[in-house]
Amino acid sequence: MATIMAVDDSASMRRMVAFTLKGAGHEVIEAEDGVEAFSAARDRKVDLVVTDVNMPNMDGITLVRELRTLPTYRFTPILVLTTESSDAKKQEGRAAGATGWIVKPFSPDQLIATIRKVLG
Amino acid sequence: MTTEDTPAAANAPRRVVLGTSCTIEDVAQLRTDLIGHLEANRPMIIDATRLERIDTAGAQLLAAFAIDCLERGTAFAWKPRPAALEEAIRLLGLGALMQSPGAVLDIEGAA
Amino acid sequence: MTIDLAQFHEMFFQESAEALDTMEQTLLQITEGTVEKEQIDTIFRVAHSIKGGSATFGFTGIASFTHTIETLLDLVRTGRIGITPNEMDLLLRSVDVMREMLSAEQYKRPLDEQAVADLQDSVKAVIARSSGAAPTPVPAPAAVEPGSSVPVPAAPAPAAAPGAERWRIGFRPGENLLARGNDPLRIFRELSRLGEMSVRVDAAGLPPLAQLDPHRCYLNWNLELAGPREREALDQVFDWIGDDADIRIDAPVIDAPVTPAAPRAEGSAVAPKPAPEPMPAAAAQPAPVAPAAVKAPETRAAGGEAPKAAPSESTSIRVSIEKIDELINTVGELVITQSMLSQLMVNMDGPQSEELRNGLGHLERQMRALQESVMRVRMLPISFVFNRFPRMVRDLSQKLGKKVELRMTGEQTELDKTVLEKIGDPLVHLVRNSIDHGIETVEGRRVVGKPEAGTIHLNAYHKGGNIIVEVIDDGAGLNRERILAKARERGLIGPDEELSDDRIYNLIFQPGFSTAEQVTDVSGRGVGMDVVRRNIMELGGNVQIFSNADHGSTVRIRLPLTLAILDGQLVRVGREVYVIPLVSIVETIQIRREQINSVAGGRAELLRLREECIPILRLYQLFEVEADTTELDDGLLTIVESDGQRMGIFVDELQAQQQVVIKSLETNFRQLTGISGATMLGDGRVALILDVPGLISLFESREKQARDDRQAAVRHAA
Repeated sequence: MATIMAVDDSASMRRMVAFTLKGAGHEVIEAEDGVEAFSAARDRKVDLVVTDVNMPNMDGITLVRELRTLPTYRFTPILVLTTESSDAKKQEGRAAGATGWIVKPFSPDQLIATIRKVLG
Repeated sequence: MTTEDTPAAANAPRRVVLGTSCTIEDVAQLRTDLIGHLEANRPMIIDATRLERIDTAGAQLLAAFAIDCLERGTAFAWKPRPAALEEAIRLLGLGALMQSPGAVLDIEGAA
Repeated sequence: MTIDLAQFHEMFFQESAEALDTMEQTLLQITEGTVEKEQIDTIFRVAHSIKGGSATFGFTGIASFTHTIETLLDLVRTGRIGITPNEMDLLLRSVDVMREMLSAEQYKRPLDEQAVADLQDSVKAVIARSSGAAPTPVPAPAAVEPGSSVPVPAAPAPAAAPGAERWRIGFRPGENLLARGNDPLRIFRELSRLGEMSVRVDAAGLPPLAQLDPHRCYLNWNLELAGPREREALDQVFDWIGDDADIRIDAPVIDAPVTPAAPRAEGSAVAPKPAPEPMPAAAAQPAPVAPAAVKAPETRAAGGEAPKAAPSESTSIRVSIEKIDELINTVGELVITQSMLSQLMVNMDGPQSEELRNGLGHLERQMRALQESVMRVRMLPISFVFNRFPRMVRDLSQKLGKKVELRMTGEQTELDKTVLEKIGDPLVHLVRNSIDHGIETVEGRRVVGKPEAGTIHLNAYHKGGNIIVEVIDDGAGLNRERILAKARERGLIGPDEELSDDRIYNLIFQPGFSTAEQVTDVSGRGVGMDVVRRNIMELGGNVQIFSNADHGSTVRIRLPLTLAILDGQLVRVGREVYVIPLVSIVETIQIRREQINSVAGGRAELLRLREECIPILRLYQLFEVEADTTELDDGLLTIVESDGQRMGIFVDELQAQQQVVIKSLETNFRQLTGISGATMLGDGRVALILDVPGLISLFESREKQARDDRQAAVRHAA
């Protein structure tokens, strides 16, 4: 259905997200950090970006800000994966141009439900 | 979006063909195109046959266009309204705003 | 959709173990009192990531513990507390506890819950102290059960009235709603899944096309939704939308004579509501601004000290070692096939043989390049082993009341993974020894005019196809006399035998040799230097020690770059071909009969060569094969060396020098004394690879046996 980019430095979380999204029929591109995600985004337009916040090299907030500078990603939905403890991060993410967030921990079902709000 | 103009009759309807996507990515261009059509001051048939994706930005633009048409007295008709468009109209409560004025149905028949 | 999260557990354990290593290393890089911003960010990120993963994958205990750690780290990050030795200690112990917790989950092992709880309490106490009377810890994450609903941290919701039927929702998008990728259409679609919904649009604000900014939403809506009993269901749909839109959710009306909501013009006042502010966004408090106690990265350069290399985080994929070894094996076989072809070509004539030879030359070079690249896949930087030392040196020197500084250089030097795994324990032993026996106490050092803190230097570098790893200390050095006395007492050397200093020092690698006067808790646990040497020799390496009284000692370990290929000299004995590692060959000579001495009573024959007496090993005798000749001056003597000991190996003929592929990396060690492995030759024959250190020690133990017999005989006679 849609092409989604999953960005997380934690391989287990990234795989979980990717596996869940693939199970829901989406195509998934994985990236390990903001730098990798940004360079993938320059090559290819995806329909949705789901990114972790705390990552080495380029964090998720910076990634959102950078993506919004790309004409092709001006309006693309971007969800940040955050924890309840980082309310400030949610707001920072929104200020950078994120569409919304997914609160960790989340189950695959919750992920799918959240994705539906920004895709399709 | 393309236009199939029939130059023969000055009042012949313009056919406005929408592409597959009418979303926030497309609305800037679509707006410019629609303004161009409005300025021709001719009845219009909006062909949405290919339309697959529409979002609030797209629906809002089409609604603004429909209202402009009404205010100018420009007749227009939808031909057809595919499922995606129907759903957007229903969920956003735009049914009343996007209705074609009855008179326009005649030109649809003529086209 | 049901997804079994257990399939991600293994990956989670693995990455968490790595994350904890990073956390530990970074902690150890912190010099007391000053925390670099990058350091604390890294540590925080790591803890945060373990917390997120453990909560997601249902490890509630780990999530709770890491949450407490994260809260402490956040206080450090925002400059509210510093890292004193107390915090450092707590954090390092926390790393250990997290490791324990993870492996308890991973291997279904029992866990000392009390120890975890105690440490967590200690950390909480620090948090409580530093955040004042009213600590406001961030809410702990609840681990989710798959399929359960998210607890939305939203504002208090008005309780749904009994029998409530229709929610009335006012929805007024803000300027940025659409531009950030949110879409009322999808939101309404989700709402309509909850129950029957009616929608009224207010388009009063919609400008004509000519004035319309198409990326902004001008429409407002009033919705009525029948169905959900709980407010949470609505909050879940709106969640972050409240940031970019004005959402009013009125308590449901009972009975439904719906009064159409009056269309509101832009900017009109919102009617007062009886319910508390329901917008989640309003509940968000801005985070307190951090005092600037965390050093900014720019100030680093001013410190004068070279910036420490950040733990490298590179893009990589995980491949199982079996797959790599399979690849290496296949490439090895390809190399054999290629050399078989080359051998066939040697005697080939004909118009196209020259071209074929050229082609094969290319193939050979390319094969070598391919082989090298494949080998490199198995290589890892020695930092994987070095990284455990900062912690160990710190703990050990504290325990012994010594001051020790650790220096590490050449951490990026790469080693074969198997070598790397097996070199860890010997190195630990050597470093322990240095701290325990080498480095003096603070007083002891003061007396001899040395700085109070001793230094242990771990150094790794390439040298001529080998990797050298050195453990250098500036302690007291080895005690020559004591070693000599001990060696005589143990009968390792004869009573009148005189040895060079180097030979004496290297006696400590002999089995059962230990001069430590009292067995300490630290290094005297029965594992001697002989085990260190044996481990290193099993890796095809060797070890030497250099010492300088009062200035310290250096242990130098030489390791092969890889265990999979070897530069070898082929030698022939009768119909057999053996491979002698080139690295251990000194020279090959033809000898004259008068150079040979036979030691009376011993089995050894000695070669006199430039003031040195070198024992001779007749290979055909050792392996019981038939040689062309048994006359020493008819054959050749290949002089080999290991650990400063030399030996002459008697063979019939030298053949080619070539790289040989050792088959079966992990298993082919030490089935036979004197043999380190096997290889297949170009013509398909199998050749044994000689283990030179093994041969030398085999020879020495035979000699010692002979000497003992001799002495026993003498005593018996007396």
